[in-house]
Amino acid sequence: MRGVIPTALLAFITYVAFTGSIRPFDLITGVIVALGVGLLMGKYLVKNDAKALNPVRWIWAVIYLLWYMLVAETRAHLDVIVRIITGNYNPGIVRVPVNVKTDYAKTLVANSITNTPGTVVVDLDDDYMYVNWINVTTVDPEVARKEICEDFEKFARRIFE
Amino acid sequence: MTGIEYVIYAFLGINIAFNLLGSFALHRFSEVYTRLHGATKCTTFGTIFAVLAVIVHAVNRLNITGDPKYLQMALHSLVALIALLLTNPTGAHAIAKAAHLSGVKPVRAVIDAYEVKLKRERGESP
Repeated sequence: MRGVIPTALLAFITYVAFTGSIRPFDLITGVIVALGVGLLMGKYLVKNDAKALNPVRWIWAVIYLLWYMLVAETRAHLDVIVRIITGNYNPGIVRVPVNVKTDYAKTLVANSITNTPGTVVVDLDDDYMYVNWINVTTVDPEVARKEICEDFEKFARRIFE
Repeated sequence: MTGIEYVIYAFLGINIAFNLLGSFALHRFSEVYTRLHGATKCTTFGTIFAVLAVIVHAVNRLNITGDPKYLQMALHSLVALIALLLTNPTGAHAIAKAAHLSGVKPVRAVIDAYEVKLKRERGESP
């Protein structure tokens, strides 16, 4: 029965948010749907129940979302806006080492990199990410890692590892 | 116009400005990879502000009228925003990889490490 509870909980919260009402009818259908989803998908989505239900990790996830929206996105957007206006850019695909182990953490880092303007992950293998960078300042993988994704990896480790 | 309406219009204005810059980027940049930066990203930030405007409007109406349908409106936009945040980078990543694998090379690129890797996998000298 691995993973049923965290998956069902997440599905239930999404269901209630989406129906937007707390009438008994909606709550009961929500529980039925959430349990169904949890039983079907739980074992594929969760490897460790205690880790998935750990509130500290969820708090880090919320902090990460706020930091990402307010600091990382804004900084990257301003940079790209300047490049759009001035037309001064220097693109290329660089190799960046992946320093996180679990699949969820890799997904979070890769999606965070892609969602900030100026960097798009083209492909990902076991050791390296191939990142299209709008302004290549270095071709050294370690230095590129520091500039592109060091902060994301710190948060990814706290949330998923 | 009340103060809250100024906030809503400010958010909508920021949204339009970002989307406008995104469409400028399509003309400004020269090939598919750099256009991805402008087109997909500026629209994300714009959409975040559009959703914020909807949420502020809905909460404001909820305070005035007390009608629960406005709560539903705010929650729906929030769920849509989260779905967008998860799917947008996945789509951008898929477009970039598909473009590279179907032979569109980054023209102005100073370095193409991915091409080197693909050639090594095919057994050609880079």
